[in-house]
Amino acid sequence: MRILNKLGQYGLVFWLAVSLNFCLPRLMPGSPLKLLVGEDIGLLTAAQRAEALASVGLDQPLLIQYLLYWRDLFQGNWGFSFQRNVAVSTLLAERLPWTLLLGGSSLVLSTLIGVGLGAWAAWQRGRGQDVGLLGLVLLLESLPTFWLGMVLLGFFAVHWQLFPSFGAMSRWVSLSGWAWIQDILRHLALPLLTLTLTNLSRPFLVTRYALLEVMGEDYIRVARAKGLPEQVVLLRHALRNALLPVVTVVALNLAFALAGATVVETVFAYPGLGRLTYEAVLARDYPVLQATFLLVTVLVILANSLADLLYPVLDPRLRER
Amino acid sequence: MRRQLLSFSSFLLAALLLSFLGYYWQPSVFAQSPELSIAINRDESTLQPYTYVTGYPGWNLLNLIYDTLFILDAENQPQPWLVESMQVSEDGKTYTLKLKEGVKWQDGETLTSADVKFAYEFYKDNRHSRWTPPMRSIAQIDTPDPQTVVFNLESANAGFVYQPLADVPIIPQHIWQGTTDPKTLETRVGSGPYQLQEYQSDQFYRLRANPNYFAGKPAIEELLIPIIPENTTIFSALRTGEIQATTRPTPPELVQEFERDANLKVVRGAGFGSTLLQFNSERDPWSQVAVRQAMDLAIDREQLVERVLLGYGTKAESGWFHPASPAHNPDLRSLYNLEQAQSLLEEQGFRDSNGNGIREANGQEMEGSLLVAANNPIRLRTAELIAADLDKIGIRLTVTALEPESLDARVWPDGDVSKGRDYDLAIWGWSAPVQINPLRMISLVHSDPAIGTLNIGGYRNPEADALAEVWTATADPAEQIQRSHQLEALIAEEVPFAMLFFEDGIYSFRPQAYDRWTFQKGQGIFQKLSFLPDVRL
Repeated sequence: MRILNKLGQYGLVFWLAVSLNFCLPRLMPGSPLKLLVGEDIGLLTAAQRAEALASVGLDQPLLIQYLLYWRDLFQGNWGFSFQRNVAVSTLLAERLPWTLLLGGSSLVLSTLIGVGLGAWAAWQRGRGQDVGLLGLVLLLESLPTFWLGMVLLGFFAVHWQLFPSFGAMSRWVSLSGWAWIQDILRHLALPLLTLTLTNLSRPFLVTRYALLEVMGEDYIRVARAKGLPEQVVLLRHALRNALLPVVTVVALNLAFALAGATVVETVFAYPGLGRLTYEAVLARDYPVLQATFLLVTVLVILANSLADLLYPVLDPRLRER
Repeated sequence: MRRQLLSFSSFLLAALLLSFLGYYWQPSVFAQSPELSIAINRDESTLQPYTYVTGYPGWNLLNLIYDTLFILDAENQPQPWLVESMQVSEDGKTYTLKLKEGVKWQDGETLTSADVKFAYEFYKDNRHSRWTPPMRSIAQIDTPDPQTVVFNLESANAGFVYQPLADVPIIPQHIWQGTTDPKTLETRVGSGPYQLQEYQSDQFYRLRANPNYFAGKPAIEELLIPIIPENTTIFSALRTGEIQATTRPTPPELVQEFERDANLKVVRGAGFGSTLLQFNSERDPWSQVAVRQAMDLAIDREQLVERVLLGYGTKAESGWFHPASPAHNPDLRSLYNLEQAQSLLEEQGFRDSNGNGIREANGQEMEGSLLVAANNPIRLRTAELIAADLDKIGIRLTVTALEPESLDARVWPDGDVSKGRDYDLAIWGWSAPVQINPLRMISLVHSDPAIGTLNIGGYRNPEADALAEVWTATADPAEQIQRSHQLEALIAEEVPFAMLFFEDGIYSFRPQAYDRWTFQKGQGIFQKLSFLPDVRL
């Protein structure tokens, strides 16, 4: 029963998301006409314009377009990009690995570092290091991702020339094996650093507050009174109990990692999904927009349901009797 | 105890730092590239005539792979390219072209008059906004022999050599024949100096020199064209040597620094990309000529060039053309005169009767919104300065910044002037090609949407329409210039739009990598002739 309920909820969210994905691009002012007929759009006659719109079904009433979109979705047909003249599924397949690499590693890093620093800050509660760290993390959170990327680019790529300033891999040389991996990591460094720094704050803050709360509980006092070493108290008794909200935050952070990737990938010319979305917005490339929005929605829904499933595993109190 | 926790966190920190720095602390090998790398800022799709995206640099890139019958030289004069010679009949209606011998497609086939005829007819039948409209004037194309093409026009067309002859790429019949959906055709065969070797969307294009090019092998063996959306990133990469040139103009604030950098060279020249204040002539009070004239007089253009362009630009004169353009009517000058502007408005009875600092026209406050593209810092600053200028004569403008597509949707919905408009004023501009073919001035002001395709202000004046029609049908070059001057003078008088300035074309590159660029007046260094330095036109 509970499972059915959950499924119903996710189904509703999915339906809403798909419908929004369909409407949002069409609500934006402007049209994809330029992509359909070429740049010198002013020279066309009205009939030629109408013909161009009809060729991709944009002359149909919105409701029909909407129903056709659902039909295509069920048939696994993601459509054809107006801008790039290839199937959207091909584009997604090309870009997804880069975004998973960037967004995924940033998610892992920001969680590990955020939780680690959060635990430390809670431990140092009220002292200089805690206050300093808290200030630093809040500052990082408030910095615009775009600006942070530019600053890191200026120092690491231009001034010290440690990392390349753009792209996902070198193009003049063909590398293989370890050298190839190194090349990819080197190109990943700056986008990853930018994205990780901006996504550090949520796991940090949540861990810190959760831990502070737990540290005041009676069982911690009991553990201490038993004479357990402090690290055992912290890591085994306190942190494990404090991690529950962190799981929620990690699932949420996936959404932020993907959203942040849009900006980061644009700054560093990284060929991921975020960049694809950004260019599609500028160009009003409806099929690509629908597909990338949908993909991101599905990823976020999946992450959240995973978090839902993890709760009872992590916390026996939440298991159904 | 605490020490252990400390070591736990510092381990995490160290892991991060190590992963970033440890492995890679070595001289940067990625900064070296054996050939020439030129960054562009957006994807140009599969780079054939039906898929390239932008007029610049997309069209220029396309022209490295394909050829046109004529080519514009550094002074923007059309010169024969695939063509050996051309004869035009007395009445200006028949163009007989002799093609060069021995021109080959990149797959080895010979390029003949049949290909030219096929290409032009293909563009006529398969809609494309740039290639199809110029075909309307062609009645018939004959190919008496493989080297001869005869164009029979419906009527004399003064701009025929510019467009289509120097504009439309010739495509191979043996590949395109039978194509019904040209956008999806995957072809890379042109006749141009470069062949498209590899393309990864949003990442790069790789072009390789065509060893059998009819005008000689291009100077550089391989071109890598990475796609980098952000200007800042492009110029960072130019500084580090990851790229050696870019199609993007160098922002004025970087010029001094780049000029001091021994690895970089900065070239400057007139730019024909315009910036102007566009009036909606269908909306009061901007519909009144006197109001537009007064506003034109109240704009301090010298200040705009100094403060917005840091001096790297040219103040526009009245009318339409760049002062350095051969087409510009030299009698036309722009004036900055606040008193004259004030008295013009007074004469019309536009006074500030309620003392709020804004004049009223027929009971309505003279105020409106000034739209501007949010992604263009130069235009944003321009809009603010202009609003301040006009405040001095009692006209209040509110600057509204819009994302580019949203701006287009208000000013030029669907790029179709017959669809109307929804704005008061806008900071606008047209790209260099609109300046280069003088006849395109007509499209800015003609009241018929089919001819006045760029008349985004809805300007209507029978006198302008009549002048335009006489000019188009003129075959005599001297008379053409006279007509052009007349129309430009009329525009200067009526001010359907107020020209503001032309940004200099400022381009920087790394001269050790390649230093034989040709600067095409008003357009810049990224064009075919830059890669064929030994060609004499």
